[in-house]
Amino acid sequence: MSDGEYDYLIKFLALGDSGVGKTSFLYQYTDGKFNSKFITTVGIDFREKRVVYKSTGPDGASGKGQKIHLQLWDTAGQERFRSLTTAFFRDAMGFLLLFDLTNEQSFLNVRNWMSQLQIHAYCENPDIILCGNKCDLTDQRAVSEAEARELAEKYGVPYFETSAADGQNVSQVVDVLLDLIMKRMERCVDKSWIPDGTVRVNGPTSPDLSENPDRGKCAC
Amino acid sequence: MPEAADMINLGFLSDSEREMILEVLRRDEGLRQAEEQRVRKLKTELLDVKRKGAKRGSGRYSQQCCGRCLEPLSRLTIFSSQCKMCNHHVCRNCRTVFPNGSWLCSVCDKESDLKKMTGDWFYDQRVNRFSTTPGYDLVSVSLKKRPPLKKRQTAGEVLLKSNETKADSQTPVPRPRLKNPAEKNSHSSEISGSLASRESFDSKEDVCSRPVHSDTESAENGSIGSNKTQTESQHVSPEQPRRKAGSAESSPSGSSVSSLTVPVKAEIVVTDSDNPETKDTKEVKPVNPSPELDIDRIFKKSVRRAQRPPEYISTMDLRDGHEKPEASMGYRSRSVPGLDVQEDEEEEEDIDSLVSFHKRSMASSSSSLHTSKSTLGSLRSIYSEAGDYDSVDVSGDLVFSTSYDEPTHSLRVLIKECHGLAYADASRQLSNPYVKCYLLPDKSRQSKRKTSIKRNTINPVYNETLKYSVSRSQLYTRSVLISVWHHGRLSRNTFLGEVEIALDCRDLDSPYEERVALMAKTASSVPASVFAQYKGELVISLKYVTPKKPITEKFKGKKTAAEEGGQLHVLVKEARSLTAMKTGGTSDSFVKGYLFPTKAKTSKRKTPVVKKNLNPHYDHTFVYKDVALEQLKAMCLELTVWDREALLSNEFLGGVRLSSGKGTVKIAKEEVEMDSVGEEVSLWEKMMLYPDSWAEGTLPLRSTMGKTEGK
Repeated sequence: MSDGEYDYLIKFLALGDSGVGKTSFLYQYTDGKFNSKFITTVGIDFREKRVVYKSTGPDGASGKGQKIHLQLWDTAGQERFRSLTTAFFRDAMGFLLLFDLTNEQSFLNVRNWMSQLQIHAYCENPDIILCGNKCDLTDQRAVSEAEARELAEKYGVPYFETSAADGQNVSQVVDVLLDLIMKRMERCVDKSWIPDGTVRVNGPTSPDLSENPDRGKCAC
Repeated sequence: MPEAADMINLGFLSDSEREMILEVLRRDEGLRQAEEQRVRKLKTELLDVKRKGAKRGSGRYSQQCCGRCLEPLSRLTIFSSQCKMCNHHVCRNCRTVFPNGSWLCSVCDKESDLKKMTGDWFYDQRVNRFSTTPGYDLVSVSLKKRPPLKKRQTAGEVLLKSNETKADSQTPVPRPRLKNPAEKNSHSSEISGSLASRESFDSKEDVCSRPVHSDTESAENGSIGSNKTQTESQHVSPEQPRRKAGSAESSPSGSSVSSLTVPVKAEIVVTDSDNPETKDTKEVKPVNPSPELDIDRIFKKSVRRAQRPPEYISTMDLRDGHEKPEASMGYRSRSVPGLDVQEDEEEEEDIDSLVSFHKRSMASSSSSLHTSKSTLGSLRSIYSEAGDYDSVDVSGDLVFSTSYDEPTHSLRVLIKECHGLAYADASRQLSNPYVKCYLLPDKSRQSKRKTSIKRNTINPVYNETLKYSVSRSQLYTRSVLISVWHHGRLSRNTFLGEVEIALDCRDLDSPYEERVALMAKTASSVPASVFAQYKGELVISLKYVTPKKPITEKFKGKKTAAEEGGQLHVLVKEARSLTAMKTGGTSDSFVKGYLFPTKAKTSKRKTPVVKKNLNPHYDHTFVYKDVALEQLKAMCLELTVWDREALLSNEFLGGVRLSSGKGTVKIAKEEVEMDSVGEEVSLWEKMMLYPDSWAEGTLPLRSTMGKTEGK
């Protein structure tokens, strides 16, 4: 798995309520398969995938491909594992926040997950992608795309409707997140002599995300 | 760092769940180790690139040649050839041009690449976030002993490490179930216990590299907590010989085997692990080949069980504090033992070479011996405890011979006598000379040999043989550096001259006496870069604390009362991969800080000594009071890491120099260029730009603090 050469080890983490399809999503992404049987994740797990990333510069020119080793952490949505799973938030560079489009409560809980992220992630405004999963189950839909988009906008994060069952948008989501991370990385490093985000890190000053209008912008 | 990561209580998990999680964590460990190896390799590569370029670190060079390859630059390009990061002028071949047309010099480019590829961009940011107790608190907190934090440490790592010992021990070893009720009980507490303990960082290597007694010692430490445990540890003590034998032969392979735990069968009922009855239903586990781990377990378990109910165990890893300093191997380098060896073999610097570097750079800037002597004064004031010396015009010669003694495999250097040495104190016509010898390239204490001191003579006769145990084949790559010194009983030693003898072309079988003229310290044409050697890294945080009552108080202060009372806080967090100076591959290090320019020694600060650790955590804050933000621009902060040596002079391990990197600063009446580079500059500027917040950075240690004279 981890054999061979790669240029970057990038760590993502999927979170969200129990049963929204985090494991299935990742399984679909890494193996292209779907298992409709629900097996609850015990605490934590991870999957790996090797991808090639081609950076697209501001001028649209793409650079040479870089070999990325993705470590995709899967977390248990169940409350009882909470203390364990949140401890892993700090090790991830980017986050996939999933909710179930057929389950309104999971959507309402996105807010809680966001604040958990704010507390436990490596910085106050990590890269997050909001995913409304199970979009293939159109007849059971309980959350409209509009309200989901509205929420995502409020947090300043991209929103995608995905389906772990048929693979819709799955790899796109990971690609977009990877792109966000790679761009953030560039900003962190490029001209690192210019004071960057690390100077304003005296703890979470505004616990409520909504009070943070410039979210989505890199602190670097 | 969030509490959660430190103290995750897994008491609520069932055995099978724990096993599954541990399995995940072990997979993660595999990935992590590969990653560590990769990171190590990358850093080595960067070092290579840096080595090639001569103009690293110190800034005073001709602008007519490329800072990397030293090829002359054409006049046309000179105006546009400055790297925007390090400010060196570099030629076209030594640039990396980006798609948008901007460029950096090859080293700076490589450096920022490295930051990306190693994930340091991420870890640097994370460290900042989780090391933040609000401003002032940090100072007081840092003075207390805090558990060491590792920048690259992940939750998985912490969890796994804390469970590894437990997992190791609970698995295996064929033994009758229920043999020992205490063991039974503690079993549950053990696994359900802390995921937080960091003790086992070293659990792999330390079995080989550190003295066995430390384990028992730590167990004893634990047992102090309660009487009950004490009796229990006595129980175990008969087993200790066995344990020792075990650890002697145990090796990383041992521990890796033990981590191959067979997943627990699914039909095992998920139950509360605290319930001893369910324990009885437990299956016998697979066999573990390393017996000492089992004893280890009895040990630890009984200690824990006696002390607390399992739920709280996560908070009680008191032993960690004791065990940690025993670590003798750099954690980071663990997975690449070969590199460790290499590093240990690398030439070690001591204060002499520090000073000689200084002299060399002086000489190369073609100043007379006189000036160099006076600049030494500046160095002296800084490293006064560290064996500095005076210098005089060298004269006289040395009579010596070298031979190789086959039976004992030793090189013998016979120091016969000296003639016509210079007076160390010309006015009093005084010299108490002795001869010191190094077998280069080793300049560490191990390689130092000295003769006796002859009193009050400039023609001393020694007839003393200095011996080195060394294989003959090795000699061809080495040389002997013989120097003559005046021993100042109450004052500094004085350098009287030296000579370097290459051994490759010497006939060591028929010793003949040779008379050579003593020389002043040899000047090398191109000063070695101060970063040429990887001496490790220093992690620090800087903060400028603005005065509480700004402005207004104009009446009180004489001039700029506005800015008076500002403070510079320097949090010295940790050092990594320091050079080992002591036997056993460790160092007892501390960090010393100076803020220049300064009056006398008022700016000197020191951290406590962290013993036997090449990755020491100091977590100590230096506070410089009454500093105005404006002043900082023209100031220079020097942090140096030293190996504490109780009776001898401390040995220099590396240092950093933080400043804006421009202009000069007055150090002991000497205008010295502020030659800070890269992150040394960026961190300093970051600190100034954002008062009242911490700016943290990981800085490579310079191998010498040699100064460049300002113009």
